[in-house]
Amino acid sequence: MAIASSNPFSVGIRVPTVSTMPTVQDERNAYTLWGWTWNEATANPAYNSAPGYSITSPDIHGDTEGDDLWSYLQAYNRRSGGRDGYLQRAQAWRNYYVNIFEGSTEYANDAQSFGCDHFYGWGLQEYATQFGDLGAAAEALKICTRVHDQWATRQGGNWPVPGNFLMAYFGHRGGARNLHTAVVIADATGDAKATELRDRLIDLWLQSRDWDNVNGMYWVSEEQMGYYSLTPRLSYAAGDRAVSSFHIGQLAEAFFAAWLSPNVTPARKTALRSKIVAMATWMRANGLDPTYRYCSSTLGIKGSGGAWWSYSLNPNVTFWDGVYTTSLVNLLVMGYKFTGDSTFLSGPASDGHYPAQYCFSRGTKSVYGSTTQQVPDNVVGHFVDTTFDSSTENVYLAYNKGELQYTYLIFENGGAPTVL
Amino acid sequence: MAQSSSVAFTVTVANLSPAWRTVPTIAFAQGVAASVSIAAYVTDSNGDALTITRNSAALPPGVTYDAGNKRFDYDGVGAIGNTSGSVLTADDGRP
Repeated sequence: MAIASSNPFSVGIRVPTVSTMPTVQDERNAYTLWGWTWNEATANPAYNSAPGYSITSPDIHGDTEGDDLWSYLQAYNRRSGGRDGYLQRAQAWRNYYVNIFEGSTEYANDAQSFGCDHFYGWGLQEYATQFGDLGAAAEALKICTRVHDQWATRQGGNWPVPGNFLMAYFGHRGGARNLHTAVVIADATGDAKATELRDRLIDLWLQSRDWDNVNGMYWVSEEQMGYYSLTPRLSYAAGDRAVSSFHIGQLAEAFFAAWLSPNVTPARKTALRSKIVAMATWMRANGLDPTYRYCSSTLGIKGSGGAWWSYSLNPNVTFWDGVYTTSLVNLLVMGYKFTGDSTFLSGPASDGHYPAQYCFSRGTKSVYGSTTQQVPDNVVGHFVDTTFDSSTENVYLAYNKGELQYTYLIFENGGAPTVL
Repeated sequence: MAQSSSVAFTVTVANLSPAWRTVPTIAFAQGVAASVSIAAYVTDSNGDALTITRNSAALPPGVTYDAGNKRFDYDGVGAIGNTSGSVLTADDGRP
């Protein structure tokens, strides 16, 4: 007989992943709590099908800024109807990852030239768990393994040494996404490489020398400030420092995922929590430009004192993209959840004090390129992740590839997040 | 004038062994009855029907292997646990 045997594998029963993702009804309840009104048909339209939507060769490094599969899966799960189009989009991304991603030029480009900084895996793993999709699970594990192997040889052919490696040197998003992937896949599979990657990345972040203990923020390198086109207007040598607003949003999400994991040690959780509170505290005070009341793509401190925002560095401000203001919302809610200090969450904004709800209102009602608000303060412009990006022929979600990834915590319990 | 003739050949296609892809960890969520199919992890290039048996490695309580349907079933009752060393063997029934 012609026979063949599989590899040895494990079979496990694990702690169920309890979805804590607030539903669209929670979102409605939050708006009602805040006294906002909306037109359901225009602000939260049904999305019943995604005809012709397929993913074959996306510019992974150039276009993706969130886990699209995760965003579409959540958009589907948060609704009880008018949602099948979101699932179809999630399935298109699932099929891309399982059938095309590895071996593609986009995969090679991001892995070899950018250290896997646009690799995602948590959405694929959640899809696999939800639908019992072994193909998706296998691919999620492969992605995590590739990320592990990249980090394992990153510094002179070895793992970087905590305390001797700058995690935010080229920006925060790569190390943040890689950590988020490792946390979710380690929890789902117990895989040894995923677990090692998770713990090593946590330790690298916690001991990274680009952490500013005075201000409570990770700053990028002088070289990266050049890539951000901030120098020579700003000077690293003079003490000016920079951070990307949405990178910090993604880092906060990765730290929070690690904090929630039942498999991360208490000592690491305590340290991660402290970092989140410190970053939230800095952003509550400095996140928005006091004149325009928006965040910018990059912001930071001046060596001479005070903060700066990239869009208002030049004297004659003609452009603003308020979408980055939305990137701060979850971080500020985390600040509230970890401290019980309600000034992180809501209440009046003032110069040097910008709560989560205020940032949500400003960010989600902003108009690209403008400082004019789309709708009044007490009106909902759109429900999160209900519109697509016309500049990419609607392949991606609008507003920097989706807002839910930065905002969902504010909808918890209908706008009343719990204190942890 | 050239004459033509015909010759009949019998081509015997060699029977190839089934081929496996890597089977990942099969994970169930405690309290949630579910089934996970493993059929997609093995193929037979001759198109033969495959019989898939499992070795004697222990399974977590509440998990069984259903050879007829080529899947693992979890009853949703078994407690949290993990076992390793499961190996599946595919047989195409031909020499």
